[in-house]
Amino acid sequence: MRWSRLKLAMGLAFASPVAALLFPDIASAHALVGRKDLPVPAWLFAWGASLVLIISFALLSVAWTTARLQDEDWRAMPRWFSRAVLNAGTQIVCGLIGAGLFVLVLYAGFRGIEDPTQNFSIIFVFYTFWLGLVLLSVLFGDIFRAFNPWRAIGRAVSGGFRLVAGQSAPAPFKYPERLGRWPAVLGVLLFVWLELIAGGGVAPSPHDVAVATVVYSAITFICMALFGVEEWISRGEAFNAYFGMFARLGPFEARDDEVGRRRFLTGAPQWATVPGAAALVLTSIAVTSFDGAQEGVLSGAIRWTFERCSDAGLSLPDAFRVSNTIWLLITLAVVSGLYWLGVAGMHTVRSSPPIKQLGRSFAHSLIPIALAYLVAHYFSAFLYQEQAQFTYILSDPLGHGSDLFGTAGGGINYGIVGSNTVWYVQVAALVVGHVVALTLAHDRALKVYDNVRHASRSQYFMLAVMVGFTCFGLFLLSQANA
Amino acid sequence: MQSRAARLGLLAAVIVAAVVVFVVLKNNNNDESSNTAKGVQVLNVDASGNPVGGVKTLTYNKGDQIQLHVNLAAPEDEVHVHGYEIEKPAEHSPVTFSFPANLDGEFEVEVHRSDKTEGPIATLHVNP
Repeated sequence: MRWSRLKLAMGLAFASPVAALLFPDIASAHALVGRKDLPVPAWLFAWGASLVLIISFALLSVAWTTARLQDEDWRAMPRWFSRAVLNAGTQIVCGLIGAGLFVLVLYAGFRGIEDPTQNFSIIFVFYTFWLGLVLLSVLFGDIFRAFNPWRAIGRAVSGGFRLVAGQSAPAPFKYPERLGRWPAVLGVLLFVWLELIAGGGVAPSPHDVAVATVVYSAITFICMALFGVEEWISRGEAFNAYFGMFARLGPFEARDDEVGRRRFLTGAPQWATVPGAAALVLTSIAVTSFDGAQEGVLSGAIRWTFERCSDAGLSLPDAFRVSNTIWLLITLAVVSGLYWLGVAGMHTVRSSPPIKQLGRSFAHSLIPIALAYLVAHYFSAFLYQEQAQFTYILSDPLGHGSDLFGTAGGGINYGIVGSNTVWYVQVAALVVGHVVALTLAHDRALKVYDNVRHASRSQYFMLAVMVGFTCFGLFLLSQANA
Repeated sequence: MQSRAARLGLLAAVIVAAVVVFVVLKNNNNDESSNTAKGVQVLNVDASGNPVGGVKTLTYNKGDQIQLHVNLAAPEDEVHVHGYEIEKPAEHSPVTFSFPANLDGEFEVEVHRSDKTEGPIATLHVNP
């Protein structure tokens, strides 16, 4: 998520006089690229990859033989705590905060400065919201549900309806089971497309982000009217599904009116095995991979495609969009292919369930890898942009020169983390993610297969998949660290 | 299923091996001397704001002094070193910089123009 000049340089090298005319707001990519991480050095890459292999086999050799994580063992916290956290008051306040931020994104998008680095809507949506909520979801559970602006507005409207009509608004349709997580898959893909590709070589403009927000909101409101507010939010709404997926890794979960805590790692196995579940987590891994690969491993390929598109008569931004979209989809196909190949391998083991069901029942084991990819790729960028969020963006959200809290003069301190820290955090995230993923997969195998021997044999295939993902992740970081 | 002691032993062995290999690899790497830029580096920029001979990557080690001498064929608005956030007015050529490399990472040096176009003229690569 480094809307970069390299892409631009690509265009400039190709047709520099034209490019200058075509990218009038090149300046806008600006501070988003203040500092770029250095690639993970070769020795650290080699060490990380070997460590992953050693750990994998060590884990297999000491592996447990009865499933231990399949029962969630969720226990309610003291009643006073639940009452303090989950009462009508806090729900209204959280809903108002969510709706307020939502309105601010729209207002800043339509009325604020065009420069994305100075505009609240860009920094908030792509960093604080998209990355920050993943972190908060893992730590505190599915809190986005409480702040979800579409849910808050939907509930307010249906509450109003109840007041006027004296009865609940009926939902005309039942959510089709076959849709599963697929709407969320599409939503996540389009969101990342907006972030990385829509701008045609530069960051998306605040105006485009506001328009996209309006379109997504319209779709969400229509679907909530068709299927019911809570029904659509918990099944179809993309962000709720996405953040909720990561919340499964954490210890906390609210059920009805109670907050509870569960044993370490017993949440993820409960992640619903609905259609599209595997696709959602694979999409998350793929889009992060694409963002990491576009300036390293894939840069040559994208450039080649870009030039072919441009030769074919497309304008430079369109050539950028087409070539990057093609490679985003190829990345998605490769990442999904690797997983399903592993599943097909598992399927050869006796007593396997049907392949589709098998694929879904191991999908949750990839959530830690998806999280590790996010940490590895965005850790430093997040630290930088949150400094912007809480200094000048906070005091001057529209970029019009206001200073609401006296922090408008602040800036980003790029010295906050050095390369060594960044590298170790990245490698550690991938290795830890790998171990957790293997643990979850092994435990699931013990439940799916009728005996330990079959379960262990099935796990050679999953081991190959996960070593593949982790070493691929390390490799991406060693090539270019955007 | 092995005994608890055997598992812990294996775990300890893996950890010890991993730490030893890490330290060995890291130290071997530190001996390596890389090609770093020394002294004043001259960057020539043509009238349309592009670097003559393409965008150069200048490599430094953290703590080095970065010295740049930017020759401009036409007046520009400013020259901007990203990350370090040093901006110098560029109406008159040359524009010179001298500052310590106290942030590691990759940073771009750019020419900014009044019509809001800008382009990189060099990349600073600062090793930790």
